[in-house]
Formats: sequence, C-alpha cells, structure tokens
Amino acid sequence: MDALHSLMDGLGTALTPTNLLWVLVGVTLGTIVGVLPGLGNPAAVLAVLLPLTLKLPPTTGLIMMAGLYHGAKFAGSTTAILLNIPTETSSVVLCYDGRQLARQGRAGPALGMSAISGFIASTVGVIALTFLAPIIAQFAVEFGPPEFAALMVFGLLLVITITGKSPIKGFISMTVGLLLATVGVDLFSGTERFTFGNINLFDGVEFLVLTLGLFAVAEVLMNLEEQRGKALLTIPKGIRNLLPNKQDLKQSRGAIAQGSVVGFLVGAIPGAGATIASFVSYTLARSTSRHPEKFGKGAMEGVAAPEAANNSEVGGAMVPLLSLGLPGSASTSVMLAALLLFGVQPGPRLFDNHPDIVWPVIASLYLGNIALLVLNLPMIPLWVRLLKVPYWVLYPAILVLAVVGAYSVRGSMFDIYLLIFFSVLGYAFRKLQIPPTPLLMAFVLGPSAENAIRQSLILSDNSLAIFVERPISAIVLLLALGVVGLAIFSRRRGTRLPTKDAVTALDDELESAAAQPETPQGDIKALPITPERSHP
Amino acid sequence: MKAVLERLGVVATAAVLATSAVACTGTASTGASGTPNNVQFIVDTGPGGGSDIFARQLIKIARDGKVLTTNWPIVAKPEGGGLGAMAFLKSKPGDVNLISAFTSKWIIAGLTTPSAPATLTDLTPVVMLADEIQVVAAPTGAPFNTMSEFIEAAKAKPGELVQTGGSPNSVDNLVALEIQKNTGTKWKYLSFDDGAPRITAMLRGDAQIDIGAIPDFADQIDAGKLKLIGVFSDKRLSDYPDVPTIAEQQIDLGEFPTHLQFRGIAAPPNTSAEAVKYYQDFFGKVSATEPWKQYLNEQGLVPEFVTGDELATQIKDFTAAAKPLVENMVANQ
Repeated sequence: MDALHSLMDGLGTALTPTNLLWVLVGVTLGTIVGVLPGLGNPAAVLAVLLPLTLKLPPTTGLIMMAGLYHGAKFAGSTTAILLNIPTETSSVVLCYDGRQLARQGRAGPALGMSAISGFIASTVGVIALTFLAPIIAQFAVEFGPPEFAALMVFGLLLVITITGKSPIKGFISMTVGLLLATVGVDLFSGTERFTFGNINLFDGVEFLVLTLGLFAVAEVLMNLEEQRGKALLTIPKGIRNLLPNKQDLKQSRGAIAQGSVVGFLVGAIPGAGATIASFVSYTLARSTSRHPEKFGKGAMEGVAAPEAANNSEVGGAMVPLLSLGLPGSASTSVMLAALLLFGVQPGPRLFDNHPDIVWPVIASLYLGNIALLVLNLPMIPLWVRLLKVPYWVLYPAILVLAVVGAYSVRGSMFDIYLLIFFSVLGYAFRKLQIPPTPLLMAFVLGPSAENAIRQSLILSDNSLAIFVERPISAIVLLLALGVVGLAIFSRRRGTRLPTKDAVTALDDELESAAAQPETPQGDIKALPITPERSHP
Repeated sequence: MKAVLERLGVVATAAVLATSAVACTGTASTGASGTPNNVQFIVDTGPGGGSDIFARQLIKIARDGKVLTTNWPIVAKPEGGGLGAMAFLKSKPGDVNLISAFTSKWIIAGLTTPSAPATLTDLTPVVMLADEIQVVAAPTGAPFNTMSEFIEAAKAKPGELVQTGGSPNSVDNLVALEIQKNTGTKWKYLSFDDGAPRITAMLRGDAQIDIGAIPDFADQIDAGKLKLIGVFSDKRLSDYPDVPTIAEQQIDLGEFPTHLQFRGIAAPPNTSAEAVKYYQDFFGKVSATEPWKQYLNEQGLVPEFVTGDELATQIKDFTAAAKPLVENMVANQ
C-alpha cells in the first residue's frame, strides 16, 4: 500500500499545470522529431533534447523527457505503419501486419490500435512497476546468459515459424540476416569478422541503414515500377473507418494482455529491450492465435501485441534502473544520464533517498502516455492523410529522408553507400519473392543469441548441459518447444480446411512486397484474390 | 488540411536539409589555421556513453562558469572504439576547430587492430585531464576480501573463477592477463556489451570479480551487494579507506602504470602551436573551476593537468606496457 500511496503523491506532484504543459510539449516535440528517420530512435531524441530539459526544475525536466520518450516511440510506429519505414528496432515487427492493414485502407485503425494498446499496456507496466518492482528485480538478476540464450532460441525458432508459405525462402532471408549480423569486431576475441579492414564496418551494420534500404527505398522502387501515377494507398471515407471498431478491440484483447505481460518481463532483463519484447510478443500472439493464417496479412492482433509489449517494456526497463541502479535498455541509460546530470544518483537506494524525484518520474511516464493518447487519437486522420500526398511528392520525400536518416546516424558517407547496397538487395528480394522481414528479425536477434550462447559456454566450459540445468532456462526452452509445436499444429490444421486453403494460397509471405494496386476500400474480405496467384 | 500538411512537410524537409547543410558546412568551413572559432567536440561513444557524458559535462561546466560563451557541438564518431574518431581527426590535419576526448582505450585499439587507420601517436595530444581510478569489485558474499586472496582462490581452482568485463582488448583484461602471467594463475574472462549485465553476473554468482571505475559499483557497495577488494592507485581511496591498493597487496603489474585509465584531449595532426595553446588555456580554466573538481571527484576521477613532452612520454610508456600483452593475445587467438 505504501507504494500506491507514494504513486498517488507522485501523481499529485506531477499534476501541476506547468508540468502538464511540459508533458504536452515533450510529446509533441518527440513525435515531430521521431517521425524523421535517424532521429527517430527514442534514445537519440532524448540525447539531442537533453540540454533543453536542463533549464527546467528537475521534476519538470524529467517529466518532459518522459513525454519526449513516448512521443518518439509512437512516431516510430506511425512511420512503420504508414510508410513501411521502421525508424527504430522495436517497430520493425509492425511492418508485418501494420503495413498490410495500411495497404487495405485501414491505416487509421492500425494507428489507433497502436495508441490504445500502448496506453493499456503502459498502464499495466506502471501498475506492475509500482507493486512488483522488488520481486521482478530479483527475477532480472537471475536472468543470465543461459536464460537469455534460451529466450533467443525461442525468438529465432519463432521467426522460422512465421515465415509464411515458403519456409525455404524465409530461411534464406533469415540466413542473410544472421550473416549481416556477424559483421564487425567480435566481442569475445576482438577479431574482425567480414569487415574487409574497413573501420566503418567495425561496429557492424547500422540497423537503421539496413531498414531504410531494405524497406523504404526498395518499396519506393517497387511502387515506381508497378503503379506509376497512382496514389500510394487508398484512404477510407468517413470517420468511422479511421479508428479501430468494436470488433478490432474485442479480437485484440488477448493480444494486448499477453503483450503487456511479456513486454514488462522482457523489459526488466538488463540488455534485452523493447525490440526483443515486441518480437516475442508478436510471435506468441501468432502462435497462440486461432487464425494464425491472418498474421502477416493484416491481423489487428499483429499490431496490438507488439505495440503493447513495446510500451509496457518502459515500465519493465525502469525496474532494474530504479531498484538496482542498472539501466535495462538504451533509453533508460539516457534517463540514467539525465538523472545524473540533475545530480540524482540512481541506485538501490534511490527510492529511499529521492522519493520526491522517483515517484513523480513514474507518474509522469504514465501521464506521458495519456498525453500521447489524447494528442494522437485526434491526429490520426491527419497522419493518414499523409498517404494522400501524391507520389511525386511522397517518393522523393521518402528518398530524401532515407538518405538524410542514413547519414545522420553516424555522420558517415559510407552509410549512404550501404543504403544503396541494401536498397538493391531489398529490390532483388522482392523480385525473387523472398520476404525481407525474417532478415531484419535475424539481424536484430542474431547477435544477442550468439553472445548469450557463447557467454553460457564460457561459463560451462563448453557443456551444453548449462541450458537445461538452470531452471529458468529450462522453462523457457520448454515453452519454446511448446509454442513451436503449437504453431506447426495450427498450420497443419489451417491447411486442411478447404475454405482456409484459398486464403493460405494467398499467404504470400511477401508481406511488404509487390504492391497491390487494386486495394479496395478498407475491407479485409475484399482482399484481391486473383486465381493466378494461388498455389501451383 | 492537405495544404497545411504539405506546408508542414516542406518545413520539416527544409529543416532537415538545413540541419544537414549546417552539419556539412560546419566541417567544411573550418579553417586550417588561426584561432578556433567554430569548435566541434568529437567523442568516441554514442549518446549516453562514457566520453559523450564526459564531454557534455565539461561543456556544461565551462558554460555555467562563463569560460565558454558559445556552444561546442558534440559529434559522435563511435566506430571501432576510438578508431573512427582517430581516423576522422587524422583526415583533417591542421584543422584547429576539431578536438576530441581520448581514453587509454585508444592506445589499445591501435595495437589490437593491425589494420588501424590511425593511432594516438598520429594525432596532437593536447592535455591529459584526469586519471580514472580502477577498482576490483566482488560480490559481498565472496570467500575472499582482497585481490591477493582472490588470486589464491584462483590458484586452488585453475581456470574456474570468472572475471567479467567488456571487450578482451580492454585494459581490465590486459592487466588481468599480466597478473595471471606473473602469478602463474588462470581465470576466465566473461565479456558483456553493457555494464549492467556485468553487475548482475556478479550478483547472480556467475562471475566473481569485475575491474571498473568507482561509479560503476558505488551504489551496489552502498546497498551492501558488492565489496571492493583492491584499488589500482598509489594511495587508498578516502571513501573506502579499508580497501588495500594493489601495490600494498604486492601484486606485480609488470610494466603497467598504476593508473590504468585516463582521459585527455587530442587534436588533429599538425595542429598549430597557437591552437594547442588556446585549448590548453581553455581546459586549464575549466580544470580550475569548483564544479569541475566536484564532478571529477564524483566520478572517481583524479584531476591531472599534463601537457607537452611529459604527456607524450606518458602515452609512450603506456603503449610499451600494453604492446607485448596485446601481441601475445593476438598470437594466441
């Protein structure tokens, strides 16, 4: 009850008109800066705007930063859904279903679902942080390399299960992703791998550059080829189609609940972060869904689950920061830096020593989320109208943003050449009907998996038993087997039913490829089913 | 609505283009001589990283103390832990508007990478600002209370105890290798990308020791979860007077200096004496301010102000100590 009391006090402190104003300013600024690729990474946004907040009183400054953080995060989802440009790693997974929904004219509902599930999940996150922090902190400490390795194996297995119609093509894509992930200086030996002696490759391939090439530029190339002169997407008429309907909400309930829990738990593990949380949650939603065949073709749960995880992760990431003084992810390490600049030393005793700062921060994280919902739901129609911009304005704008974004990550021309290379790769993938998303997922999960497995083997002197000897690791591996088994089972069941066969035939895993120009007006049932595209 | 949006789009695009144009001209317009007037501060870490915070803090203190009236933008060149920053400086010889914060990591990066495009000796060292005292931490419940007791424990179980840290090319692993060589012991080194998993590895019992800076462990020590078992310094720490130094424990560090980590400022090759003087004056003024001394103390940094030949010798000595170890490590891979 103490915690609840403190939270209420915190809310009281945070809820001054001035602070509320700064939360709104933060959310707005965060959203504006966040839609620009390169600056879209919430950690970068926080770092860039850090000096601005230092002019304010500590509590107000931190509250504004919470707003910035939420704004930037939501902006990342917006660009992923609307333009297929995931500006941060945790919104990659939205390119599966969010983008498909947008193609079907349901960009508005997808954005609305993103905001609503994010809001619900961060409510869960804040509540869990308030009441469960000490218990979860213990769990976070126990989660070492073998446990992490098990989680990553889980993640990679799931990538295979969601590759769609042609597992071989999905596997090819994943392998290229793993290969790209090995580029750089190896953590354990200091040896260079696939760097060709070029220092620009020492730290590996920059995620954003890969994404911008593989998705944004390649997509522009495809669209230019296929639908010259047409609008990129169709916008549904009428306000009703701009927000999620009752059925969307009903069908996403389970996904939001699952995403909230997964996001919070994964977020609490130092070194895991929102990306892994969103991947795990998405694949879990798909594997446990009653109609997994809809995933990748515009399932509302495919937006709801990862977005929930993405947002409750914030609460989770605050657990090790506030109870152990250890940053859980990139964004919390910037928060940590901010606390330090304000002269507040985070650590195990932060709650005791600075309750006047900690609780308002937690409260303001929550307020940031509310502000986001209030500001952005009415903004959705405006965002969606972005798609109405004629192609001759939109495409050059995307190209300019992609180039500027790629350059701005490290201020390096080399990254622009890489961008061109990945654009060509992405174009080739689409032509060969190889899905690009498994590549990106493997690229993100690969290094974590490799590091965790090698750390475990160092600890165990190369004995694989370590993965099953430790209880948490054994449980996660069991879960992985279970979920993969379930996925295989449901896939079989799905293909046996004749009615669904027609749909599965369309299960063209090219989730973001080959634009379908004849997109109908916001109706899933009217998906363009053309006979020549069915199974051979 | 559409018009508004288009205008917004134009404004946003223009803003981006303008920003990038400024960023480009910022580098392009820097003159090759004269007094620095448009300084960019290069750091080798991304936002929130060690050098980034150090540089931001330094500029903040300089501005608060009116030593600096303009703002020096911080530019991250994080490639290859110092290599990218060194290569960038090397590519701008004589540019008076560039400075960079270097650490001992830069010397080692130059040694471990045969293809390194630049090393610290290619650049103009300006001033050494601080030594970062390194300490050895262990979980409170560990059966040893000093580094020498840890070494004894490692002797009893060769190759079983675990030291956690970052890259094997970091100075904490190199000095550990030197100690292992000189005491005939062997223990494992467990690498993690970030600092947080290193701490949890110790709290969990996966690792027994970690060598790092005081702020890395201070909170855990206050909370009674970690303890210090050795200090790499000439004298004991005022905050932890019970912790013996490595020298007191008679542990042989070979050619290594007692201070393993340092932070200084370097400029491109061929920087004019006039510009070097300008920067030395500037950093001298910042070093004299109270907030700066206080900041260094909080971070476990010992103020230094070494310039000229003495600085060059310091860099040369450290390189000489690290070189054989690095070569040995590379040969064993």
